[in-house]
Amino acid sequence: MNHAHTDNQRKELLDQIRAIQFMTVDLNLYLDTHPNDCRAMNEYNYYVRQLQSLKREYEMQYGPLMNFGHSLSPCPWRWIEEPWPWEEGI
Amino acid sequence: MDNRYPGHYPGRMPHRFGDYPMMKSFELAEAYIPYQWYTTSFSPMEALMAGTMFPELVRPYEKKECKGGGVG
Amino acid sequence: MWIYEKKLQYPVRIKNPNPRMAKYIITQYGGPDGELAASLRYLSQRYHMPIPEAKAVLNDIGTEELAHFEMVGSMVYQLMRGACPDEIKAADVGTYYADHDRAVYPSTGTGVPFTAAYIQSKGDPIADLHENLAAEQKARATYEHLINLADDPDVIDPLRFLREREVVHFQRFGEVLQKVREYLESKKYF
Repeated sequence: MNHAHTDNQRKELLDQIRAIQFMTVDLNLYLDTHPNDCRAMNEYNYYVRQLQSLKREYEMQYGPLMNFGHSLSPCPWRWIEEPWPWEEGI
Repeated sequence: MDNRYPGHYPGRMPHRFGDYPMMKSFELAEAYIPYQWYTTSFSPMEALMAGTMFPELVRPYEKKECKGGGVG
Repeated sequence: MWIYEKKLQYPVRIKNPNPRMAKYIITQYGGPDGELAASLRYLSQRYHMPIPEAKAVLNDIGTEELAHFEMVGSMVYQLMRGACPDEIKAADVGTYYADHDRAVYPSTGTGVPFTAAYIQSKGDPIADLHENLAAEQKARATYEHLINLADDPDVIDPLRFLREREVVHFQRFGEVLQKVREYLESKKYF
């Protein structure tokens, strides 16, 4: 069984990703009912770019965050690695 | 503090009811929720902690003290 | 189509098992006002909505509810994890344990299995949106009850997050309601 290390650096990076992604979620819902708010739209894109770069950084060290074609993985297949999100509060 | 809004959350601005772009008047037997206009937001970490990026949508919940003992 | 991201939307890091709390919280997993009900309700209603804003909001909030469904499931899992049968019995969770061990099963705290009877997809967009407004309030109220029942800050923290999300969802459904109303009004004049 392969247990990935739940170190502080990993936790901090993932918490940063969570926070940036949360902005995109709340903005996404706002934009769904305010599609003409271009200022909010630009802010959404700003966070999308930040999110993409943070995710790349995370995935290089800790393996893919997504599957079904949305993230790359080295060999052996890292997607199955533990801990899964419900286990150690990752 | 505006006393028309008991429990007014500091910093929460009541939205004006005339904010619907196409509205002429309010109809009977209809429910209306004011349209939000985005002005400021929390930072990402603050937003995650608060549960929303929009300060005007924060509704803090305080656990109430319960003295117990049934009908007084 | 859905893509899964391997992280919780908001962290759930519960250090101390508490089967009694798990039994209370599980209603937001498989109960009438819980996240599974919310998700299926919105994802089912979205097909029949008349305007793009409505389809988007139902699609996206329905998707976010799946992330919340996962958070609540994680809470139940962590609250049961490592609890001994004696502790489980003492917490009056023995009937659940007999059928499910410490596994997560969509039901209420009293063991009523999840049912689509908790949701409606009426086809009438005004009716559906009012159902959704009510659903968000019921969920918000349930989270307040759960917060009242909890002592552990590790448990209260994610509950607060989930509660606040219901407030935001309510606002969006309210905005969509007005847009749908305007659309239906405009259709009358053709």
